[in-house]
Amino acid sequence: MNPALSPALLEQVRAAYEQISGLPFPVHATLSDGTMFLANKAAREFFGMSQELDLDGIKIQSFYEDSREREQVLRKLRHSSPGEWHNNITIRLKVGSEHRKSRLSTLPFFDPKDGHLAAMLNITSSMTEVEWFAEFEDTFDAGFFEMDERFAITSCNAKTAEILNYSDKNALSGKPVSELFWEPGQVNTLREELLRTQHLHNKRLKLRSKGGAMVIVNMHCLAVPDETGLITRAKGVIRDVTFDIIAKDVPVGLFMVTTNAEGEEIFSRANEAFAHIYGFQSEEEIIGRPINEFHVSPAVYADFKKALDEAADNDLPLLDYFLDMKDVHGKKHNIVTNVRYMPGENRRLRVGVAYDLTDHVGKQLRILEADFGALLHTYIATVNGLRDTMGMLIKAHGYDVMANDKQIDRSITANVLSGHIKRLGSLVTELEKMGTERGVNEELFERVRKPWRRLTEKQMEREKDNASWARRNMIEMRNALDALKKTGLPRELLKSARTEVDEILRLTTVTSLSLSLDELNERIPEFYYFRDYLRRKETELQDAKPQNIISILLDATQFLEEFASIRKVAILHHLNPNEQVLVNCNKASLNRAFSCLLHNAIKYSWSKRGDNPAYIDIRVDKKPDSIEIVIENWGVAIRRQELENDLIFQFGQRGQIADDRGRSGTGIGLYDAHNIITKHGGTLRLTSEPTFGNPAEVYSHPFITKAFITLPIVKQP
Amino acid sequence: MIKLLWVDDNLDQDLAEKRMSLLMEDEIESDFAGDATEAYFLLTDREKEYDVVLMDLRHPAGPDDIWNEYAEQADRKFGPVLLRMVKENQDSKFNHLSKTRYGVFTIETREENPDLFAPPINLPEQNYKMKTHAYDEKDFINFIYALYKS
Repeated sequence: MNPALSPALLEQVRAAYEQISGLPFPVHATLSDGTMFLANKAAREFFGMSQELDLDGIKIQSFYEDSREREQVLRKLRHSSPGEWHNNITIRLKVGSEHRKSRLSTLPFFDPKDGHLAAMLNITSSMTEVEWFAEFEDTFDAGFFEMDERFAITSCNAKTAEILNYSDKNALSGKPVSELFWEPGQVNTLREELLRTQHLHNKRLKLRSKGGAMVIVNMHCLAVPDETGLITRAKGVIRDVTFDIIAKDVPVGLFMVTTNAEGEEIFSRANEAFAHIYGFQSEEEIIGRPINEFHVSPAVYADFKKALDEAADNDLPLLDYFLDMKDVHGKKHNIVTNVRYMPGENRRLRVGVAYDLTDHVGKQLRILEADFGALLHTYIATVNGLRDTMGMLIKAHGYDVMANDKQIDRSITANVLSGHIKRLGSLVTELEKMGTERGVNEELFERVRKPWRRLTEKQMEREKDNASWARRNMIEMRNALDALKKTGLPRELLKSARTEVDEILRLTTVTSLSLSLDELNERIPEFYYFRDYLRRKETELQDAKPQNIISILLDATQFLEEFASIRKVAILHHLNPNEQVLVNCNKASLNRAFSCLLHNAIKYSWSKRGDNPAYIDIRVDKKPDSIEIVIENWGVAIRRQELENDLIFQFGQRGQIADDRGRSGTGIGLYDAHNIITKHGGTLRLTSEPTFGNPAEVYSHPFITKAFITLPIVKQP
Repeated sequence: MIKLLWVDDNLDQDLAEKRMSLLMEDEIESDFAGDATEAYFLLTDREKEYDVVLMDLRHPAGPDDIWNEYAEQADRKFGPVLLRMVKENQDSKFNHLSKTRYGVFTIETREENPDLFAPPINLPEQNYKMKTHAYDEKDFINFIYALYKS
């Protein structure tokens, strides 16, 4: 026995023991070190000790399944008040080979000198499994309830109250369950079902929480009927599955993305709708897949991450973000997503929703494309009519300066024009001299002098501006000469001057028409291309036929000859026009792809030296299984990062330097060409390298840009 | 004499005749810029104390690397960038333009560009003109004179 236990304290314990030792429960007393020093008959039976056994040396911890559990018991008792019974201690004991789940009711005794726990008096009782688990009722993540024959709640755990949004489980006590049902009549259906089967598994119920919200639960329920078959009581377990159902049935993709140990972002959770967006049948198929498998390009993903991080920096979610992605079959989707990082996860876990707008966007876009395609078609027709009219006006008024059937020779025109201006100068001088002699009003004469001064003193840089400048001044001079008719100046002299003015007006007008016609002709391939793009049909290889790729390439080249001639770019090709290389293809689509690549090559060409004309170079290399076509030009660069990130193949993306010298464009051509060639089983690759000796990233220098197209060929039998 | 800088990338296309009409005006001496880089160098030229700067809102950046931070700007809205740059540096790089009047000539509506009327640009409402509202040459020239007097 512990010598530290004072006689007085020992007496106290004994007295307390005597009071209860006659009860039909195991009662024993121990010292704080576990030494058992008192035990009644029931306790000796409980612990498997003979009634005669001397307790000296018996330690209670030897009966504990886990001796550490006793330390926990002591810890609880040390913080309790003297003279107060503890009834809620559950422990696992081992008596011989038998394990016993037990409940302790304990009265602690403290040493009055130092206040330390010195001894304890215990009543021990075995617990059934039900009682044991009931201990956890209030901490279990499921609602337990019991109801009487009237189907009113008799008891429930805290979780049941939480599920139904009640702050206290006692508030549910006595409440008819019909009041908790979303449809009160359903209680009769439940009663009938329980009468039929007594045991309901996974029964889905719609309940009404305090506050009126619907709570959908899965219920397991056991009914206890009496001998007449009436239910005397029922008990059950409920689990709130409202949000599970929402997550499963809501027609919106829900997802969770986690960064794994390798730093790779993977889908760690998704609902079925999300899996469907990505082309999978079930959510299990997408779990664990790296998200980069579904990026359209690294740049698109980088943009998304940047936006997400910027939002997170401001403690905001990323909302309504439009993202292009491709599903597991490679089909492109337009999705909009709302996403945010989970707090405390160091941006390694994010959750979000995604909507697939592909069909919606596609439908809207198709209507827009069809309308705009039709409008552009009409516009092109109008422009073509205008081109013809301008051509006729040039022929009618530029008869003496024509270079060919269509266009004037602008150099000859400039020479003829200069002769007329010179003659007009002489006539103005003569008119001025005679005007002075005949006393013509100085103000009237200044109206002639002023446009003449302007015309002769100011030279414009551009041919078009010179023509416009001369015309504006000649219109003023024509009006001024008409005003001089009423003076005494010789009519023949005035008529000659007026003739020269009219000639200058004619030639400047013809020059302007000619330049404007070139401008229109320069633009028209882009109009045609864009119209054809808008009116395109999706390239489907099953509609493809074996066709000669050389002739398709030559058709596209021929179509752009006029444009190349206006841009003063020669088209050089190294191919045999009579060669037959069959490619399984859709002719219109491939023609569009070639036209786009050739048009770009011409548009972005510079002249290499001085007056030497610029040129593009087309080479064809036939290989056993494929054909490689290389289109090379010398001029405007494509930036390295635009090539490395495939930015140039993105829809609507123009090269950063593509605006060089006012070059227009849509940013669709390369995307379209890449799409067409890829769908034909081929590849399109672009390189842009500085010309010899020039630094790699000084883009104001000329670069050699090459488009490499490969297409599989059809082998002829 | 009004010293004018007009920044617009369509000066050689649909605005070519309006540009010529400016040259016919004896009271206006005009410079033109087709992109942000050209405009920037003209605006930083201390010998050119412009009385009026007329700005289009969207035009290309041009070749200079100073625009790299705007590389991702898909709408090419360099007009407001330039105006902000000038207004924010009135005490240093652009102090020779402290008396300059600024105007905007664009196809866009006022409502699309609220930033122009707020600090630092503070464009007076009457100095904003839609191209469709000054299609006639005379209206356009009158707008320039009105800017000068603003």
